[in-house]
Order: sequence, then C-alpha cells, then structure tokens
Amino acid sequence: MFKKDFRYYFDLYYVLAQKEFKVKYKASIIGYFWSVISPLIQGLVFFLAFGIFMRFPQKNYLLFLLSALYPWQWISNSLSHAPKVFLSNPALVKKIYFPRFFMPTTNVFQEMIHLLFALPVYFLFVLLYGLPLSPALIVYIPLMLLVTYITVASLSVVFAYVNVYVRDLENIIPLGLQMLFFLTPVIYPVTAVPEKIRLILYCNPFFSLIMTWRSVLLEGIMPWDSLGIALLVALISFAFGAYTHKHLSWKLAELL
Amino acid sequence: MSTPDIILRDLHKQYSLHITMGHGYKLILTNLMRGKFFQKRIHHVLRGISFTINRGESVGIIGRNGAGKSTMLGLMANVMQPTSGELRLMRPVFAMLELGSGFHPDLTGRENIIMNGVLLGLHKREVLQKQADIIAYSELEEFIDQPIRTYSSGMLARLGFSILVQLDPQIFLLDEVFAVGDTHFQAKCRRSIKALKESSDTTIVLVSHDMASVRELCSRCIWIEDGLVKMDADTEGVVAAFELAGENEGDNQ
Repeated sequence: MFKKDFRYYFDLYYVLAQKEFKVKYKASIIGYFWSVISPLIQGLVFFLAFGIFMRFPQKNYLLFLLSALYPWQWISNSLSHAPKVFLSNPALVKKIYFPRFFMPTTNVFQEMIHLLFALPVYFLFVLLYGLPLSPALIVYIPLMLLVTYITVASLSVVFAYVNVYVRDLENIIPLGLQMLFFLTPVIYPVTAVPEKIRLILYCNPFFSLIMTWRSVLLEGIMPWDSLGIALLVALISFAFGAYTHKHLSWKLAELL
Repeated sequence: MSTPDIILRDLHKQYSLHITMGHGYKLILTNLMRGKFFQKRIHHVLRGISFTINRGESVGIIGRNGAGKSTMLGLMANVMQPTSGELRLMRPVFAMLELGSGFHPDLTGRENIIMNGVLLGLHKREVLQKQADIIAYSELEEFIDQPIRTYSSGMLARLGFSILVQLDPQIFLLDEVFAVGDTHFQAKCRRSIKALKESSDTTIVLVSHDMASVRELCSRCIWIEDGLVKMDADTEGVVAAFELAGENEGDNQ
C-alpha cells in the first residue's frame, strides 16, 4: 500500500527479533547465560553417550560432534518453532498490518543468536584440545551464517504459512526433524554410511549444509563444492518461501 | 475544497470456511460421498459497499453486531484483502483495531511502547522521541518498568491509548477503543480525539457501539446493515434513525 523505507523495515525486524529474545529468558534468574549453558550441557551429554559409552572411533570426538551439533540445533530449533509463530501471536496478524514474513524470519534470527553464544563454547574446547583456530573462520563463519539463514528462514516462512491452513504441520515438523537428526551425519561421520547408499544422503536438504559447517569449524577449510550444493538448496528454499509468501500471506488474518 | 482520503467502490468481502477434521468425521464423510473433499461454506460479509471519505472528516461507522463494520475496517487497515471491488487510501493509515494489540505480557511498559509504536508504523527513533510524552500521558510512570502482565486491564488500555494519541496520524482508524480506564482517563481520551478532529488534516474513521462517542466525535455517520450501507448522512440523523430502528425491534420481540 504505502511504501515504507528500508530504515523502517530494519527497525521492525529489530524490535520483533529483540522481543523474541528478551521474552525467552525474561523470568529466569540466570537469563542469557542459558544460551551458553544449555549448548554446553547438551554437548557434554552427547559426548558422554556417543564418545565415551559407545566409543565412536573418531579423533577428537567432542569437537567432531559439536561442530555439526550446534549448527544443527539452530536449524532444528528454528524450524520446529516455525509452524507456531502465527498461531501463538494471532493478535499481531489480525489487528496490525506488516509484512507477514517478518514473524518467521525474525524467529530464525533470534535462534541464530543462541548459536553465536554457543560458538565461543566450541572455540574454548578447541583451545582446550590444544588445537589452532584458523583465522579464515572470520570470513567463513559469516558466510555460513548467511547461507544457513537463507535456507532456514525461507523454510520457516513456508512452514509458518502452510500451518495456518493445514495445522497438522506443527505435529509433522518436529517429528520429521527428529528423524532427520539421526539421518544426518551429526553424531557419526559420513564414512559410517555404507558407500553404496551414500548418494541418498544428498536427498537430505541439510546434509551439505551440515557437512560444510563441520569442515569449516573442525578443519578451518571451506569445502567449496559442498558449499555450492548448500547454496543451491538455499536458493531453492528461497524460491519456495517467496512463492508461499506471494500466494498465502493475504489470507492469514482470516484463518487465525 | 475536499480531497478524498478513502475511497471504497463496490467493495465485497467473502469468508470461506473450509471443512476439516475438526468439524467431525461425519461431515467429512458425507461430503466425500457427495464427491467434494474441500467443501466450502461461504459467508458473504460485505455485499458492495461504496463511499468516499474526504480529508479532515471524522466519520462514525455504526451497525449491529455482525453487520460487517470491523471487517470493513480490517480491509481499510490492509490486514485483509477484499474479494472484489476497489479500496483506495490516499495517505498513510494508522489503524488501531484493538488497544495494545501486539503487547507482550512479559515485556515492560516501556519495551511495549517501543514495540507497539514500531508495529503501528513509526521508526524506532520517532517512538523514542515520543516515549516521554506517551508515558506522561498514560500516567503510569510508577509502573512503566514493570512487565505489563502485572497491569490491570484498565492500565493496559491506558498504555495502548497513550501510544495511539501520540502517533500524530493522517488517517486514523479506530475500532471500539473508547471505553478505557476510569472516567477521568476517558474524558482525557475524548479531549485528545476531539483535538485531532478539529485539525483539518486528520481523517478519523471510528467504529463504535457507543452512540454518545459517535455523536460527540463524528460529524458524519455511516450505518452498515447486512454488509450494505443503509444510511450515510450527518451524525444526528443517522444515529436517531439507528436508535429508532433498535427500539422498534426491541418492541417486536
């Protein structure tokens, strides 16, 4: 209707993301520290279960695990919440006009901040293992954040919109993510998958993304071929997101 | 010289209700047997509304429950899209379809002012500039840094209304936002809206069931019934006719 300037949309994005983040820990005593403590504890439990009890024959298993687990948690937390963003804030949709895709995408951004808290925990472990940190990470990590954000934000838009029409999605998505977690080489290496069926892994939209993250965080190397596939997935997701926004956003207020 | 601000031409709005499992398996099965999986029930709310509101006018929208008043305002606020017809808004719109919609109970009054202001269309910088005025107007200084879940409903409404009057709007859409706070605060609200009304640049559209507010604040009034404009004239005439119709109906029952 009326074109608002870029600055306004920046402010809108900022307040919505800030709201999600503030609300998350509002009534808790240690507040933002949870963003550091929960990935730390989760990482240690996984390490205990798979590194010590099951003894995966993997060098530096803790780092190996966390380098994929932390990015995965960002993806997974964002997407499992995505179907509920509109349904948990009906007043925002029914009573106020602003571009609807801000709600799912700011949620992804808010979840990204938790990854930004978790990364220093990871680096701490790298230093404790006495391993070097590659200076190239300064470039690679923002690049990975961007590619992952595009993928996850676009899919979040799709899930959020579709769930308003077909509310079964909010039950399907968390289930699907749980299955995908075990089908993605996060807790085990790619080599654990039989060579004959390894190509099937590419059917998993997050496979290349997670492999790229692991390579970047663990070795400080950017596997450009794998990044290329991740980027392709990001662009396809973006196309889906844009299509969904174009066709489904106008009716949201009526259906809530 | 009158410049049109809001133009509605033959505006229609239909809601279609899809039938899902939530409506019961029996209904779905009977529909399947009739060969229609996505059976729709269509609810025709607005059936061709046309009028023009000029710059500086203050217009009351009245009508019974379910007549389509709020749907119409929702369309003007761009929250919904019309099924057919034309709707043109010539200047930016501030729509307050509900006081404090988008408030979050866990955020403080101050944080909610900023969020609500930005959601309503202001830059964050502008909200920050007006923040002191908003807080002063609300008379909630003591509680402003408390989470608003601790507020009473009257206090919440006061906060919402204080943001609204500080907005400095061009086209202003209001849906039943007057019955807020105690009499002292209500009088203050009326004074503020009246001041806006006096300004020749502000256009106000007000949906209300409270005929006293409509009489006081609007010079023109549109009566909506069954999705059509039943009467569109000066407030006194329309409100009198509407009240007469209401009484007659009451007598018949």
